[in-house]
Amino acid sequence: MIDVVTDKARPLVSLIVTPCDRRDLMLRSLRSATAQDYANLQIILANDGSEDLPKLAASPRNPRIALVPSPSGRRLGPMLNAAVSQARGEYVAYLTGPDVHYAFHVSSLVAALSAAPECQVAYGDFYKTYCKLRSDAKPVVMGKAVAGGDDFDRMLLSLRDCIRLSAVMHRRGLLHRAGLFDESLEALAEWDLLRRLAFYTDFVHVPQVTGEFFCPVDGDAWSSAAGRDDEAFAQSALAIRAKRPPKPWPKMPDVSIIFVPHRLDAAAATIDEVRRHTFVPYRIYLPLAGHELGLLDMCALDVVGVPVAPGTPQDARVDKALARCEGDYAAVVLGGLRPETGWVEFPLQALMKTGLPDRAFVVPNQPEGAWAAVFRRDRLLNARRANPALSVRGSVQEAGIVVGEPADQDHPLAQHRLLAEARRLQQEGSWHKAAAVYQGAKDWRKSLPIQRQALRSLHHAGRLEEAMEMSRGLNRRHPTVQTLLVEGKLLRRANRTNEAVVALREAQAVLMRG
Amino acid sequence: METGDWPFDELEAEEAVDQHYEVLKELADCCTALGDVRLARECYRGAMALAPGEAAPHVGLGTIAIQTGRLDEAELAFRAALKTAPDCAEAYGGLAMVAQHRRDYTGAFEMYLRCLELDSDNLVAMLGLFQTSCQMGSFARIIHYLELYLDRHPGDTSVLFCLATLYAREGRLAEARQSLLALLALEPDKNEAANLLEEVRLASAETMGVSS
Repeated sequence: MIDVVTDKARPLVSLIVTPCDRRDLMLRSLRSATAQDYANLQIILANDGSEDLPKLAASPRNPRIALVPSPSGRRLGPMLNAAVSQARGEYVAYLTGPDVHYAFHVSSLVAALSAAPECQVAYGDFYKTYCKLRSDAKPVVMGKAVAGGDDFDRMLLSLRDCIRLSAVMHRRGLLHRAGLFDESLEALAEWDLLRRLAFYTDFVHVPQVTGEFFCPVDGDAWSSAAGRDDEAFAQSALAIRAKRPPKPWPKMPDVSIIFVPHRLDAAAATIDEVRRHTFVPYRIYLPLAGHELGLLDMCALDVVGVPVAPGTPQDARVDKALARCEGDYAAVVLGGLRPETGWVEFPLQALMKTGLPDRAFVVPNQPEGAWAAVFRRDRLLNARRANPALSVRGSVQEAGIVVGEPADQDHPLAQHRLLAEARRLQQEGSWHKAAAVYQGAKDWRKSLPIQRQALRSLHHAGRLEEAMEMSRGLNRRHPTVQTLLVEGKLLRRANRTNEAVVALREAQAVLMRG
Repeated sequence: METGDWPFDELEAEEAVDQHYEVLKELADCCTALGDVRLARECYRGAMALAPGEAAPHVGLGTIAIQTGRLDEAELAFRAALKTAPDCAEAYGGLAMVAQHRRDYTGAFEMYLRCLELDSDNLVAMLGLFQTSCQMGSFARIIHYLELYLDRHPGDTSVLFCLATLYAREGRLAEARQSLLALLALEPDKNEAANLLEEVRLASAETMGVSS
């Protein structure tokens, strides 16, 4: 039985801590857990079998820590599940060693979740702390940069591991719907869970740095990337993207891809490409004759064979598949397909954003003779039922569905592309142009990471008045080491040395924190 | 498969690895300017430990040592800076100041020249060179650097005045007159410039054999 420090006025939080190899860093993690300014905290330390852990947990300085043995040693999934099974809090938070929580991490996230009852997950920003190891193996902080820091983007989380588990708190009950950590995954078990949580709820972003994690600058052994098996990562990522947790999914679109290939010999390769480049949940429906399905030998969960009579026309095949689909959206792919990352998410996002019911969007840049578009499934079904004798495109037109090209800003990687362009300009030293790219970004006034980079560009471009105004604005609300340093430099240049010292001392204090 | 670094991660990382060093160095420079020598030293030493390959903290320590009259310590610091970065203009400037304080004007002159060869914008070195030239009575070599500097900073009236003075002392009266007129156009109330212009006019008239 685990002892819990109770405070009836505030909800109980179970903080799950996983160990790391280095004792000094583990101690630091644990200290940050016990130093939380939130009293009603149950701290559960997953025991991977290390000899040190019981001693650390039993320390009189850590009276609130309870050890939970892991059934299968050091694998993260089983370790986390064993700890979660002991959690009794209304909320569950995580601290994967050697990460560190600042003292206000738990209280900030509880406050955010309490203020947004419609959300079941909250996350703060984290510093990526760049370190070198001293000769005595102690880490020396070289700098701290905010990792990520943008508001919640479900598409982005579906695509990549962009939120750190240590930064997250969720309602415990959500695990009943989304399931626990997947113990079969070789890697990325944390991302897998967060991705699944996003099927059921929005996440609240707390735009405040509430913790940090280490990033050695010279590839030390305790790096999170050390010993990383890229093949295992790639395989795990594919498996994660193919997952379909229990329905209903109130927050995640489900896409049924109806693929009618021209050439059977290229179909298998195309399906593999679809798997590699699709990151929203999908299922591929293949309306083919029985012998063709046999030739393709598709025995995967993400592919549904829809047997049709040999010689069935293309549009009738679409109808057969459509009758089997269960997705909210249907992507009809006729002929071939040239999938690239975001191929189906691009028209899908455009469709989800438009409030107009009778709209659909094509998949741009497809090979000659091929055509692909994303529809609301019910609208497409109605159109086909109303005019089954017409071609797919003819019936859609007849039903008044307007099929358009998606706008560039609806691409799920639009921000990524913008940043890549700005970064290229920065590397060339074209700081004015880089600043213009950031300032021209659609949501730049809302995005803190974009504003921080715009500040950097303005500073390097010598646009000092603009940079000063921007740095002051950012530092009033969301100071970071970078923005404080820029402000300090600008104030010093303006001979406001005393004020510069204040900004620089604040930056120094952040560097020493943790 | 997009699971690796994202542009923001790379963008943030580019500057983050030097951040702590930069903060300490800036803080030390500010403390030096404010006269908080103890804290300035502490910050420069911290910066030095974080980035042993950087010359700036050595230069900062050297500058503090000069301010507090510890010339040997200053020389050591500036030489350490040059060991780290042989092209460090500020270190040559510092060594020049040390030499100047020791009344070794020839040595100071050479070091200021080296500093200006590496950084012809260095106003402190230029003024140091000017002072040293005055002590030595030799102006020919400094004029070149002042001209270079003014090409880039035509509005710098203090340097314009130095140059005009040197032109006048070298007997280049037309150039002196031109510089002073430019200066007075920018700063009409600068009496010493007006006085020098009057002297130059008189000297020109004498040279041309015209009686005033």
